[in-house]
Amino acid sequence: MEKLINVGQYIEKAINALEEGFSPLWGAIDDSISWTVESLNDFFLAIPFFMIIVLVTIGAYYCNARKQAFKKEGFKKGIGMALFVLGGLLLIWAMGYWKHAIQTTTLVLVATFIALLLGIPLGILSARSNIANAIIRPILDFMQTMPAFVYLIPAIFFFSVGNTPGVIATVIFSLPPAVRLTSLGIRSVPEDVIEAGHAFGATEKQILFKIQLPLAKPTILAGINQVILLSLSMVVIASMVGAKGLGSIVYQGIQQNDVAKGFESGLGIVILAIILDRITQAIAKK
Amino acid sequence: MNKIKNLSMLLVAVVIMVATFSCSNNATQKDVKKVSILYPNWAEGIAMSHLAKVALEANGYEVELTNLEPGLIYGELSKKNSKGDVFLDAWLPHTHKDYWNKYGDKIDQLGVSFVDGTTGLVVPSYVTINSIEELNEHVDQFEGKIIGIGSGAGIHANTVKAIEEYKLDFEQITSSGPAMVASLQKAIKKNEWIVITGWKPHFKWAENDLKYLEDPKGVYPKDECQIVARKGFKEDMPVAAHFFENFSFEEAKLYELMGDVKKMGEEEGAKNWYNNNKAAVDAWLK
Repeated sequence: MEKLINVGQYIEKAINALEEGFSPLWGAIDDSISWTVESLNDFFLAIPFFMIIVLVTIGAYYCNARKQAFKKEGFKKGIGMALFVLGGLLLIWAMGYWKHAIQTTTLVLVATFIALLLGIPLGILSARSNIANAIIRPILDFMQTMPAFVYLIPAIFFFSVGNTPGVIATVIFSLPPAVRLTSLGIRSVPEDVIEAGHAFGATEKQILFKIQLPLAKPTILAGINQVILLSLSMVVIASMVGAKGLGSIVYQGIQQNDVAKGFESGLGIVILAIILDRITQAIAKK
Repeated sequence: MNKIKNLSMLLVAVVIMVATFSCSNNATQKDVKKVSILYPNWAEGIAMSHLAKVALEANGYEVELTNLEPGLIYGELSKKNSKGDVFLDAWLPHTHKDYWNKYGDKIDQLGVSFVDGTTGLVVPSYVTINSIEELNEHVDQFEGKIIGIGSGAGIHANTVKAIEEYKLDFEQITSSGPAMVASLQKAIKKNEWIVITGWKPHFKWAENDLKYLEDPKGVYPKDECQIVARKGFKEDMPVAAHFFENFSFEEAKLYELMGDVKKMGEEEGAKNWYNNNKAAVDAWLK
């Protein structure tokens, strides 16, 4: 069957034009993202591994135990997670993948940070304006249904191989829940609370910052948790365009048919995912 | 809720700082003697790239290896601000012809790492046919499958061509180099018929009794493994470029290196081979 309509060709032309037209901009984004990722990596790797493990363990304990940290109930709540974090991180280190785990964590942190920087304002916008919502929703649907691999192609085109296209593809993949859950949280604030605010003469800004956002906070935090987990699920795919970390070891494991390598690095990703998930959930629970 | 406001102000400030800092930072990064080698997941490329890393690091360079699909490697090296410097496993002039036509005018040729690169359809020697033309008579014994490697490889495109030209009732199964070897060894253990897309140099020839099927139509060409680099690499790092110009192997020596890599792992195997051949390798730098 002959192609009657050549969609791909137009997309390619558009991408080409974008690449040519804004090439200094892509260069600047590329440099800043890879510089940020590399500096964070260097920073984390400069700290001795056991210090990081101790700090994260204490952090996990505190997030779960909260105000009862020095009481029996708090100890019961926090100790399980703390032991898991301690054992999991020690296992990653003992398997020899500490450096890779740090690289993966950095990638996830940077991607999550950018996704939230874009996602939360967009979520607020789509909660407060029906027009914006009507525009943003179908775009989000499109972003979430497009297979994640497809994002690698333009990412590679605009940015050189390495961490940047990985971060960008991860941001696109993990952005939607930040927008959706922020919007949902704000929209589910009861009308009468907002009316009460208006009755007391609150400005729109006060309504947003003093009523809607605080009440939507648990939902927004659930969104953040989703963003982090989606970022983590993207790290293996991101390594196909040269992103570093545990994902690249999994990718080599797949390519080289190396069960041991693939399993160890996969296990490392699972441990990181559980730790990040539990800590963010504990913060959200408050 | 002023906290959120202050926090967002702070975040924006950080982003701006990072961006400006990274732009000013670029000028200084070029002074470090850092070579970035891109390599695909092919046994000879993995071995050669790791040897280059070990040898250059022993001589005061910093080396970064990135594992990518071949198409991405050519695309990256052709960019003005390429993150990669060299690629040691370019199958030219034939197998990678498509990539070379697209990107070749923006890439430099440095040297030849191995002169006798052949590709074709390979069967264990107990298989009683000798030519690709006889394949169709034995479709059932081969289960109608040619076990191929990644779709980015030139041998993959040539096999598609071979299926057309010889009108084969076979489909090519896309897997990876190691998965192909695993299938081959499984079949040999059970004494079953199997046909794979194979190439030299590869350790499978050292371990198994194999033969190429004759290719009367000349679909599969004879190639060199060439060393190619981004434009400007020669000027930026003349000594390293000189090293790659001299970087080359006899078949027996290459199998020795690949055997070490296979036995001891990538870094260790390359180190071991380098220590045994130190004088010869270090001479490439002079």
